[in-house]
Amino acid sequence: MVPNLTLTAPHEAENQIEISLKQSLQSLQPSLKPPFSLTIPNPDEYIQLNHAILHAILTQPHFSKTHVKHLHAIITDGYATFLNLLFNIVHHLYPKLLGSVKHQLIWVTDEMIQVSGIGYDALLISLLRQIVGGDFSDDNLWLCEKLVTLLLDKWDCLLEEMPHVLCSGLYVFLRVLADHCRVNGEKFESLKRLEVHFCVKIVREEFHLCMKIGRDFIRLLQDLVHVPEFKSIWKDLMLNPSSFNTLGFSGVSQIYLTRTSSRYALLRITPAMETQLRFLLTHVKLGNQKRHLMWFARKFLNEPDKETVVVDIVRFICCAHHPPNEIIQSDIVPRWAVIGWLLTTFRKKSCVEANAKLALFYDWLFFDEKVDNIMNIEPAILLMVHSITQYVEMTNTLLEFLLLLVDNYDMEHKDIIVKGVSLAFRFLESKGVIQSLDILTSCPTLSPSLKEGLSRLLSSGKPESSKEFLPETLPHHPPPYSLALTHSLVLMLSNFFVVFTLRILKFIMLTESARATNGIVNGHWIFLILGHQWGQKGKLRTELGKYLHVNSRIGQFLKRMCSLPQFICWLKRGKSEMFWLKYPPGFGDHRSLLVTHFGSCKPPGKFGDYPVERCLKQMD
Amino acid sequence: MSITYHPKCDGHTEVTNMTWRHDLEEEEEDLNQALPREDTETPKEVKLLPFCRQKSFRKMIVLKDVVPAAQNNIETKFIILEKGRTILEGQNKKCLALVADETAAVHLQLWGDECDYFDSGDIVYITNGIFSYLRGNLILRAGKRGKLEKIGEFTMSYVETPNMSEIHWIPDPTNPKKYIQEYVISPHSRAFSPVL
Repeated sequence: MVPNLTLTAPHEAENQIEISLKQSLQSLQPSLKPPFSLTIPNPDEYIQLNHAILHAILTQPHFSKTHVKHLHAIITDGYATFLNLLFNIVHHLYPKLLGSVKHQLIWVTDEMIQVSGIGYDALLISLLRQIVGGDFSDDNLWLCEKLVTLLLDKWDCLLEEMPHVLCSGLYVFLRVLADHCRVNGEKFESLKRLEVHFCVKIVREEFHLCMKIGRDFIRLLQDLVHVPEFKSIWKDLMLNPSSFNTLGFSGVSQIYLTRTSSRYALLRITPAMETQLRFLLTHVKLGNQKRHLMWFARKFLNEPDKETVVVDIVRFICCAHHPPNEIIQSDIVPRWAVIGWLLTTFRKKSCVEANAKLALFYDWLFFDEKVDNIMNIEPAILLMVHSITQYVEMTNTLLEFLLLLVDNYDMEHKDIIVKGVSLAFRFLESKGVIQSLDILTSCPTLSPSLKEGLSRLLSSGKPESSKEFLPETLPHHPPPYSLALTHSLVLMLSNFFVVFTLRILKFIMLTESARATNGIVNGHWIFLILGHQWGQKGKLRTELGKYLHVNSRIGQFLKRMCSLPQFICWLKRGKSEMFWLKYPPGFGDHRSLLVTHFGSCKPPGKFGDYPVERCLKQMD
Repeated sequence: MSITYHPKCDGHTEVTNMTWRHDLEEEEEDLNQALPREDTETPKEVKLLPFCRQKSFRKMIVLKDVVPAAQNNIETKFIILEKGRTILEGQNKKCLALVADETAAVHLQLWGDECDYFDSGDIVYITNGIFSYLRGNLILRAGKRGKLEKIGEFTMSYVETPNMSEIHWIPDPTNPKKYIQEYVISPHSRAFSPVL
């Protein structure tokens, strides 16, 4: 009886790889004992012999040394066949392999590195993929330990021959360290120390490998800043980049601007997970995905600890699964829908959820159309836009998160991030991923403060125009603020083209030059229009009275006002430029309102090209 | 015999299996002769190796072509969408499940330890199955002669309508041994409500 490689449940079909290995062993068993045959096998026999020896090595630990010697003796192809077979076993069968077979697998992998077999790098990477994120089972920890030990043992050889395996190892262990550092316990201590040692060794001694990984290296590293060894690395990265002794490394921004290859995203997804995700995103129709999502969650996200893998999945979907146009245009579940679902699987608000959102937006922060792929940033914008109608909370949360990232992710490199994010927005618009950013900037259900933040961001991302335009064209406005009141007209804005020529109660006009740095508005004119007919009467007027005469508190006032929807509207600089030159707004000029209306709340469709002149005439 | 593996499995495992079946097809031509004809009784112990399945693969039908008959000759593949509650009938467990493929859905009855080893999301291959009335319900099952085998999971799309168990069948006037569809009782399973 030929022993099994895998554990097969009753009623489960035996897999084809195992069947073929068994058959080879069955037919060649007698020839696997010394004295070995001296005849040279033909190509088919050679493959069979490889299969048989591999099966024997994996299932007969006591004779594995004999079998390996036999293997060395017959090899004529640099171990390519043998390693390809090993790769397939790991890729397709690893989770089902029996414990003893897994031990043998690691042992024979070690042998293969020693002989530099063709394709041992792929085998190692395939093994690294089998380490499951967020999994604290003994099996998984065992694999971590075996692989980190193996990588450390073979350090010199790997560094010389296959440095990308070390990059992959670093990526994997930085990621799993974040898991292992979150929990305490005896059994983690020695493993943690090994993993820290491995990662620190690469960062300190071979920093050029970290640079190869690109920006995701930083993303993973920041999860470990509470670990002393990584804290000092972080400090040096920020303050003392020369300490890494790497030619051509001048600072962390260099890493930010290097896009991480999708191979790294794949590293943190097991092949089984990859198969299911890819199937979901290429075969399952939108509206029909409920059951598949449920099965996926049951298999891969069923325990609270496993939540951290969601971050890896989001990264995988953004960076490594780029569907062709036929799929994008079809009724197949789009990537943004799966990400939206993943973001709702968190049981409670946690840093893991924040990390998942960071994973979604990470390529936005440093976007550069020359380096980056639009497909990496596409899911986030589509998720925001498609959520507006039914799940506006999702849009609000994501946009808020993105704006927070811009302000806080790395204050030292805020210029890069502002540029990256605004460029990302504009690029998505220009490539037609979304028709117009107006869908966000003038969305009535979106929080006004977010719309304000977004518009500010979009305008500040265009440095050329703000430099030339504002200071010269608005010379007669006393900086930084001027307040104006008028009692002649009110105009309220909604999605529709509505002009109200009713008596106005109060109209405040607030302007600020592009250079103002108090963080309220930046390069925009803001009009606040308050009317009798809208808002809570008494409260509103009281508020207004309180702040109208207190210039210094306008910022605060603005913030409060922003929470009242539709009381704030934007004047887009590009569209109003000409108008301001012709008709500089005076104290209480009712026409300003009209321009505001045309500037940003133009209704789509037939009113789109309504001329300003005509509207003015109507107003007069 | 040369065996080529797919270097990467980027689709689903089914693809790999199909390739295998294809590879083996020519060599097993004679084995085909040994397989039972559709109209003859199935010999009791025809043990098919899994990779020989492609033989009968030619006999494989899709669920929308399933017709009630008193014969153990259905060979098809489907994904389990839902499992009902397991109930005891005397000494034996049984359990109703909703299964489907790309063309139709049907009710499947799991029996004995099948109830424990199959779960929703499993892709199952049935050989020598029977689709017939059992206490007034039209169900597919392996029966004593048939076999259910899990060949994968997740990677199969499906439709929930039509449900072959929710169709009213009448004997064919031209051939009383056959059934034909008279009318649809319900587009969806009435035992398992659709997931929205």
